[in-house]
Amino acid sequence: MKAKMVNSPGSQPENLSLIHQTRGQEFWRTFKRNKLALTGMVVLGFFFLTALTGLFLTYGREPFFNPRTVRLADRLRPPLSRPHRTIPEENRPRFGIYILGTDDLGRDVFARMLQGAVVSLSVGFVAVGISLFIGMILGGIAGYFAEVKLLKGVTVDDVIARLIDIMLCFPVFFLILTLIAILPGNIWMIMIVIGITGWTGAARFVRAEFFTLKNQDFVIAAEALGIPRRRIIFKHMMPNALAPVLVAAIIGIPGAILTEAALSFLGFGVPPPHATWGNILAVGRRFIFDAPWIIFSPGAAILLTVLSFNLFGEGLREALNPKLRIR
Amino acid sequence: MTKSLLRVVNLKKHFPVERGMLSRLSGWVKAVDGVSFSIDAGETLGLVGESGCGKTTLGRTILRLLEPTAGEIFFEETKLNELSPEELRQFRARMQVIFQDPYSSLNPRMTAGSIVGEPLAVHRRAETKGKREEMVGELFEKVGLARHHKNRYPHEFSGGMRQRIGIARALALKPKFIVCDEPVSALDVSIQAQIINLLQELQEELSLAYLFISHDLRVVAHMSNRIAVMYLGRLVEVAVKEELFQNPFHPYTKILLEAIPEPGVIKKQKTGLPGEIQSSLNSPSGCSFHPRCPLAKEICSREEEPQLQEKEKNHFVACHLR
Amino acid sequence: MRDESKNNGPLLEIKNLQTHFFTNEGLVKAVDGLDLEIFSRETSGLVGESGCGKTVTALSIMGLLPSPGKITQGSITLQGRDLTQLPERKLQKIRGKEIAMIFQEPMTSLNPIFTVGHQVEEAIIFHQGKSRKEAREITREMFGKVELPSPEERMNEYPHQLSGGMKQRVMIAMALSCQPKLLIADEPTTALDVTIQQGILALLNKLQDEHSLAILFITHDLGVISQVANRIAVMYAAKIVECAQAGEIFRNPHHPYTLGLLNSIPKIGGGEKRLPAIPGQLPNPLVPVKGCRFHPRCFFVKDYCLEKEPPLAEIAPGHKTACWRHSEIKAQSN
Repeated sequence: MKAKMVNSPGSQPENLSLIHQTRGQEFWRTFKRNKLALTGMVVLGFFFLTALTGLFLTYGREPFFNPRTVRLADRLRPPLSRPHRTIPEENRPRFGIYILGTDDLGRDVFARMLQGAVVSLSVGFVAVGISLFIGMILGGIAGYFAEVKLLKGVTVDDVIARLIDIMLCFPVFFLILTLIAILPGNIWMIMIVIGITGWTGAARFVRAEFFTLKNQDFVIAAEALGIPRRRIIFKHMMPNALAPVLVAAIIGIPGAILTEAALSFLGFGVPPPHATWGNILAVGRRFIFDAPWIIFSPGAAILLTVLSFNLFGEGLREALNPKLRIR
Repeated sequence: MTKSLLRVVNLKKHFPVERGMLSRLSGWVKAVDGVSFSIDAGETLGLVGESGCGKTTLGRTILRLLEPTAGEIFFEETKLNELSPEELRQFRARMQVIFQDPYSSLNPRMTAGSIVGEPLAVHRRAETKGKREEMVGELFEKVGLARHHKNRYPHEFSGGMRQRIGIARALALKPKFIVCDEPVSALDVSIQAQIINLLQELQEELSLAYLFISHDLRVVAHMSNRIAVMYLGRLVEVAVKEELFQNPFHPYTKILLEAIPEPGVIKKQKTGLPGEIQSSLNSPSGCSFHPRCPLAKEICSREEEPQLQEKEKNHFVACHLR
Repeated sequence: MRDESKNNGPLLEIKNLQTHFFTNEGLVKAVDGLDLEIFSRETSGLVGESGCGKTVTALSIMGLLPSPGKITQGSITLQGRDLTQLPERKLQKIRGKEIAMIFQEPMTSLNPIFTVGHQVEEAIIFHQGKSRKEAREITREMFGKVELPSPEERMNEYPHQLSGGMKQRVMIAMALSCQPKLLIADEPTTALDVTIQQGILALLNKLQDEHSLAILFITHDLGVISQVANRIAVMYAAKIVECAQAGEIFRNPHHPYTLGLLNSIPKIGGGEKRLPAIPGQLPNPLVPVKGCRFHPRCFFVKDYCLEKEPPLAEIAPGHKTACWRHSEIKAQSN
């Protein structure tokens, strides 16, 4: 009994560890030290609010900001200008000014930018979501069942790894262009096409993580305890593989946004009159000297979003990297 | 022999070595190459050997965490090789494992309580959630942790306390046999002794049998009833502890014993063992120890690998010269 | 042996060294008032558990502290020069030439893309300004001295072609190639198997005699230290708690921590009784302990141990200990 007492650290004052904080607090502490990433997060927050505003105020039959109203008397008006007196009352812009000017059909660029923000961000998230879904399943299968033989010594991993290699050989943008040209052009189709062509990154990350995790002692311990395989994969392995995948996903979003913008710019994207940053840019290209403000707004928006996503993603990577942590 | 808890007969685990783009088989690593032994209920068999000798692989193969290449494993006369995956999963409750690294052996995203409670839930050892919590609390106290540690995450504990969580997890299903794979090697000296004592107390209280794997002969000597010495995938000597220390037969055992640095005992100017442990990829012909053996004769490289033979009662040696 | 060298004074003298790490979680006093003397031709052992500050002591001597670590107080005097006051340029000259260091992981200390011979030559060229040809000659000689089998062939091999033990021998050859006065060996055998460890320890002993070298040998293993050390300092929670001749420490420990460490090592043939373990956990470096640092884990603790920290005091010639109750502990241990 006496020996028990001596062995029990419970009799000692609380002396648990160096870090008396949760993983979340620890993550936040590392993250907020990276000022650029923090700025990126704030800018992203701003664009999310913009997109949310756009969703509520530019859609529907009689939106608060109407991106479809054509005012031939007010073509190519500069930012902050007032509408022409011949414009009827119901077609006048809100607050009585064109905040970001008008385009060649006299449509309010500000309203169109709001609507475009909805398209850009939702394409980014949904497309990357689709990629993640496919990538995690294929990568997980490749990593966990790597050694399972199929035919003549070809393993599951061989098949999926070659599939990834084949995907990587395609010039993805032209593949997307081809698919869009064949398929009906609407916003959902664009998300799906960008998603199913971009899953290789996530698959490779999950596959690599699963390879290491499979040999970690806690996974072997779970197997030794007779924990069912499904539970091992989803409870023990997947949560530990997510961090790098999340970072890859965040950095993948601007790629999808750029692809959508490029498609719209080329006229293969979301069909008019729906506004996207890409097609505002396409319109502005023709009036680049007469009305530079038309390309300026979408250009700056795309630049800032992509940059912010990348900075934010880098910050996440740094804060989630277990090597920088004190054990 | 029929009374043994665990009996292993001529167990082999070979890993294929593949080279190049098309994964052509270029050879085999014979990590475990014909090992036979038995462990009685409540007994500790120590397994010593240097890094790369296959002791961890052996521990994992007898639990069928790795599929054996050949050989048989009997646990209470149940042949483990023949169990179906689902039967094996149920059977795992009776044999457990404790790991070396207290950092990688616990899932960083689960609380200490859920790590220990998970096997209870999966194997339906408690009718209600409250009862399960109670059982987890008892396990925590049994290994010297406080009940309120249940809600903490592994990274909040020190190495020694994490090792206690690992032990509680292994005990949850009331196993009869535990493979202890270097359970104290990663711990500090003052913490090592605590864990060694805990393992001994638990053994007496629960009449557990251990396969105690370590490279540290001092720790193995303290823990074990019998000791098996492993070299390149084979057992070279198995004997009762006292017998092994007083009367070692195999030259490798002798060298290992001499190499232990005893505190306070100054044995200056020992040269140690010539050469390094061979790769088990290309094992030499004849006795695998002969390139490093100070007593090697012609017969050692010419003849077959020596088999484990009983030289004295319960003292087995695999050496041509004995 | 010690008396002889004491006449010449110590080669390296550390006085009241304070090395602090200013981390995000708070101030960590990794070394908190350390005194140590290292004499020529002697091996000084520094023993302690992980996190006690033994490696930080070594890095402080080398001037290689990683950020956010800083020496805030004290002096490290190498033959009259205070290393803590020297500018980085002068330290660089001393590092490698007068003080050399070998590490636990020979793997990571060698560059995988150059042959080991080339790497040793580079060190010689840098520190001694020798030509490539001369450097090659010295390297060949050193490889022979560290008993690498067929040294000529080894020189043209890459690190991955050598085993752990051989890599550590290469590191020793590199460290000694410039004839340093002091060699700091930080857990040089911890990553190696026992049979290989024995060879490295014997080699260090031999080289010490040949080169009249001072060695600071850092380890957590009391067994290893007794094979090499002349004097041993035991470190606990950033301070030295006991320091004496090697034999004296093992025969006559006067600090409860030293005593506890010695008792908690299993002995062959020691029977199956329980090990007298030191209770409790290693101290949290962020939470300073009031009074004696060891009191939360000590069997001999009295009220006054909680109040005042005992100084490192000489209790017998050459034997220092930091414990209020050292005389009673002596009685206990016998």
